[in-house]
Amino acid sequence: MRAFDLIVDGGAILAAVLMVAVMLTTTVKVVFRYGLREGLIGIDQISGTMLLYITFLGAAWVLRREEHVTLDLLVGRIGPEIRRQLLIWGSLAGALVCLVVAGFGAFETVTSWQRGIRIPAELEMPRAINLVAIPVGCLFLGLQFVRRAWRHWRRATIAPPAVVG
Amino acid sequence: MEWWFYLLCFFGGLGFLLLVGLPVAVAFMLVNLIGVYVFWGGAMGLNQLILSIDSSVSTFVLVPLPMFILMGTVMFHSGVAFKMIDVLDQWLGRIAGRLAVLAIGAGALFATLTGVAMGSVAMLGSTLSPDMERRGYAKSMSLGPILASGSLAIMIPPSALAVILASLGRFSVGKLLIAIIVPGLLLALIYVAYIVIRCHLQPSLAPPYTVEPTPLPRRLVDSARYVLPPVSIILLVIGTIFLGIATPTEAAAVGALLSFAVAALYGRLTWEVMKKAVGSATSLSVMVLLILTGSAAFGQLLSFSGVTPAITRLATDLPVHPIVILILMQLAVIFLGMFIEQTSIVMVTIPIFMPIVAAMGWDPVWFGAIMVLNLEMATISPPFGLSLFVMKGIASPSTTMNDVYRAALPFVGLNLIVMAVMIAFPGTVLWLPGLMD
Repeated sequence: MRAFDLIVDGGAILAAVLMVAVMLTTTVKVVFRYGLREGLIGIDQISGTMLLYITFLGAAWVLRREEHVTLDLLVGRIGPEIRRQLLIWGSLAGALVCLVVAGFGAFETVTSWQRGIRIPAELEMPRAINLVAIPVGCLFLGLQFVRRAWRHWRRATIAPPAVVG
Repeated sequence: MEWWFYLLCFFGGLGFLLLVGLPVAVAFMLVNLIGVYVFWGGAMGLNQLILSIDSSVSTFVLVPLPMFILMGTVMFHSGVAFKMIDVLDQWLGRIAGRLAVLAIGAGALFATLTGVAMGSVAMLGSTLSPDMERRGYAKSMSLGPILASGSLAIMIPPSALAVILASLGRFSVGKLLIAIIVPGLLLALIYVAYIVIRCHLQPSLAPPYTVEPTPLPRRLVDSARYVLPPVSIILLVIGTIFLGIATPTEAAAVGALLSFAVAALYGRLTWEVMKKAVGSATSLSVMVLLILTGSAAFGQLLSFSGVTPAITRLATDLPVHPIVILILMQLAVIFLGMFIEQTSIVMVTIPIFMPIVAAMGWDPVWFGAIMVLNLEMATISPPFGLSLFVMKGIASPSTTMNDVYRAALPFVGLNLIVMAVMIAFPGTVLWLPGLMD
């Protein structure tokens, strides 16, 4: 579990670094254009790719911090036991969705790589470079959902401490 | 199978998943998975879904979103935003609901550079909301104005959505950007009037607090010291976009870097501040982008299954006055806007709407401006307006979704009033672009 947390943290740190990198590379592009009269091609395309990486590398970390937005209209009003059940089943559903997307994402990435498909933009990068972020991110997001379900499940199976005195 | 059945399945399914507490992004993803499997040819469709996720997120057009969030978190965690708010607050004097008014002013100002409602809500939510709570503002008077002011982002140029709408509708981007200025300012004014009157009648909503009487020279010095640098960043960003020196993406990135520079200038850019600012920005950006990923595919599914065209067809087949048709079209946009993000709405409706606009002899710029306002309203329309979820994500943990809904509703009403003015008096929209001819 500790190793998994480290990977999730690593993904978040990478996402944060990429965000700063987007800021810096885009600024450098502007400086080159007006300061050095030189155009830098491909920065916008790389920035778009970085957005995809930021989204999926940070997704599991955001879930671990319970910061993904949920609708608490119903969940906020029901009893703790039903709420716990909903959280368990919801987490399992989330895990299933993410793992299915991860599976098909992996398949599509490999297929795209084998066929040599490229993005029709400035750099003509292999599309697989973009796509690989989706299965990797969804895999860890799915596993984080499994952990979340397990955490809520354990909360009920561990007997509450006896009240003394 | 009939379109209404699909409609029921899509929205019923999504509503159920959201109600049982599934994260919004995952709820969209699950409905998309099932919908894509059914409509896009089983497993082959699921492969297409992966490509759809890629193409909807990996676009530099969305780069301003994380950049402006980053600007907001840097200004928030370094304390620059608080100093700026304090100084601006001095200038506002004894006006009722002063911070709520400030939210509208800051929103209108910030709107001019973002053009992304959720980014604006995220920035103002993270900068102004904690201060309002600290001063005892009711949630309706803290969350509502921030939501409303955030949504001004779309109505005051440069607006990314207006550009998308005009380019897809194949009419003048420049004219639409000019056309939304008057309604945008009208909207800001009507918001301020509402806040001042409401807070005057119900002072408990925004408890007045003592502002130290500051001599004018001191106020000027403080303004130069604490307001001028951040405002200069904003003006620089706006100026470079308007003069065509930089794209919104470039201006946003430079603006974010300059916000770091300003924090450093004040001696507040510590390692701790940087960690918190970048961490918060990463979390918020991931949250918003993941929602956008799912909602874009959802929009495509609605169109593919025939739901969106059927709703539009239903609206236009009625033997009624053209204005009724216009209202019905806007109702369709509002309806879709409660569920899907704006770019998707534009993509699925504009190809259907524009032939109707031409057939009716309406000015596309006028129609486009009304639609922009409507799309702006959609982001704060309960129950599923996306800015509502962003607000919920930023607000204090004690804030429930009901609080957010209650805060948003009066401002939705104000938007409807402005929309009625735009429909009844087309000159409010067409006067300025008319001067360009």
